[in-house]
Amino acid sequence: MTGAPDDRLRRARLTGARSARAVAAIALGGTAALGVPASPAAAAPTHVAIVVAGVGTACASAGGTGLTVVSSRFTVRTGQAPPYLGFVLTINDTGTLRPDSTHYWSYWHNTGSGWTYSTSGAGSYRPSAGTVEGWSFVNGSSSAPKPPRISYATICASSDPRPVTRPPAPTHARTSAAPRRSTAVPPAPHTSARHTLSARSPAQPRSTAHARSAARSTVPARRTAPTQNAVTPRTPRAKHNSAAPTSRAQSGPAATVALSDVPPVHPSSASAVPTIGAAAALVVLVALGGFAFWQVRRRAG
Amino acid sequence: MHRNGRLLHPAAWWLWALGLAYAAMRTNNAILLLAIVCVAGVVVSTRRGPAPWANAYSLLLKLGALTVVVTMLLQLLLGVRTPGHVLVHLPSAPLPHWAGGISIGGDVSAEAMLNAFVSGLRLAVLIACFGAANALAHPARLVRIMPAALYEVGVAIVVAMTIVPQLAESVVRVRAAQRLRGRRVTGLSGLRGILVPVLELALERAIALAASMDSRGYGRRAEQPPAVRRFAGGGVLLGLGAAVVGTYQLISGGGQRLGVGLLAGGTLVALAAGFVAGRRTRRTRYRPDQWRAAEWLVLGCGVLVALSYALAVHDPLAAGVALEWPPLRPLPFVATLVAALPAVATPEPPGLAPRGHAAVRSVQIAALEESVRA
Repeated sequence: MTGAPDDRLRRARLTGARSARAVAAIALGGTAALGVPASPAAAAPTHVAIVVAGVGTACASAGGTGLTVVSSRFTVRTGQAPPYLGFVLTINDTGTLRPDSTHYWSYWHNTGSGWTYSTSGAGSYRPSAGTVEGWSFVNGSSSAPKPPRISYATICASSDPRPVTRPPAPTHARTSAAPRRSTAVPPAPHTSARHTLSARSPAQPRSTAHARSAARSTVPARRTAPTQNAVTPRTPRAKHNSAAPTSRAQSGPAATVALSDVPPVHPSSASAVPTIGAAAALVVLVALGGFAFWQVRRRAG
Repeated sequence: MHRNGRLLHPAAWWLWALGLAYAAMRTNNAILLLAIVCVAGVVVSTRRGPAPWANAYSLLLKLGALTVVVTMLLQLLLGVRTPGHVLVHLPSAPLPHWAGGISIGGDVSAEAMLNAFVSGLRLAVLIACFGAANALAHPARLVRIMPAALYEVGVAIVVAMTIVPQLAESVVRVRAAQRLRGRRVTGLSGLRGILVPVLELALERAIALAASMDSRGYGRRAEQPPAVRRFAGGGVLLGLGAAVVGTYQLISGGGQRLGVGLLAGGTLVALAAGFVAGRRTRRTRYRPDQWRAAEWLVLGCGVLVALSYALAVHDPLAAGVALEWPPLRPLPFVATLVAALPAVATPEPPGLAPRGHAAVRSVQIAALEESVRA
């Protein structure tokens, strides 16, 4: 599984990829121009577009920090203990709970002139409306790959609910024991904007014609690749520690999710009552503590 | 009356407590952390000696509770704001850009508070493990079993480690004395009346310690040529320095192999130098501590806990805990409970007078203290 970063680096060094990107940028301007008149949101932007490489895109209302923006649409797990306090660890369960200098989510802004690496943390940066926030997971490489370039107009063109098909089987059933991402889902840093987010998969020759027609009808074609999971509705937070696979299993049939209808709520906790084992353990502990206390009192006379 | 009771070897208790502390370092599961505290409390309650410092556990338990409260307060007031279930919204004051990531107020999430509680609890458990070791075997008894080359270092460590319990003891004594005199012990004026005598006591204690160390020949080497002495001292210093650098390498995640090598090599060099230095030092011990079956049992319990946590517990500590009841991990939980075995399976400490005989007890305590100082 160590071949992926090298692969990606080699791909990044190809000059062809760069020129393809330039072409894509020009083409993107075209699609954006096509999208503008159709959408009232683009006229006076009130939202922030989010591109999470390898996971999906979403449109969130502006106001708040980059962290609150991304966590309003995705299940974001942040570090809760030093040295990773407030550090974005996983987005929709993609990422790692044990980050290091080559495994982390990189944070990008696109304010109109392409992706720029963020110079401040997501918790302190406040994205302005009409900009695109990018996240791409650095998986073992020394430099952070840019997220796929998708314009604000493409993502936030319409506030109407857009039907989205969810893939039948997510490819990244992650556990805490296997912190590294499967290499089958690269973040696709250098794809053309017309491709889907997981356009690198050779099994998916998504035609440009299809993507263009999708862009015209202001419905991006990014949800159709079955190798990638889309923005899923929030599931109850999975127990990352417990041995039992609880809520992680996202059920099979392709569900239709309206992106804009995903309510910005937080995952409800799995259970308000302890399991039987935990309750028994607590009873044992109370008994032990009571014994110690009684022993102290007895010896004190 | 337990005439044939005995105090266990101090190293056994300290290694046992070290095993528990290591376990607490590896987990952020509240059930396991509470289990460690309870087990330590049970063992301390049944196997501590009748000496004043045996109260160290309850004292440090209170300090641990304070740690939890302070951690949660800091999280509430100044913590990093992470998204989650909003528990309370505090009025926030926007700070200028140069203030960096510090935030005041804002949305306090339940996740953040829970994690602050758990991290405070971890620290409290560590403190409690230290307190348990202190209560079960006074650090001064550890100095007696130190290799001769490390004797000076050991004494310095013991003086440093006992400063907090001794200060606390001084405060209690001075407060009692002031109360008997009918003076105030609260408020600012009361603080002055306590602070000055406590500092005075500390100074007197230091002078007494220096005098007793001098009278016992502290720092003198027996018939060693200067070259050997210098070699041994340098070796110990070099070895310990290498061990520190190796530990830093391991923690910082720089070079794992280099870190392990430096740590192992440094420890070996320090041990060898200590052996060379100690070979010709004549130091006798009065009634040396014995290592018998009970000590093996205590050590085995500590090793069992450390091993089971090392093998079975892989908590992502940086990610914190989710907002839910902690799951029960059976293997480490049972291993932790097994560590309470010394509470019943080891000989009782000596000199536990039947209740009511305060005079007998105080004489026994004095005798015990004397035997430790010797």
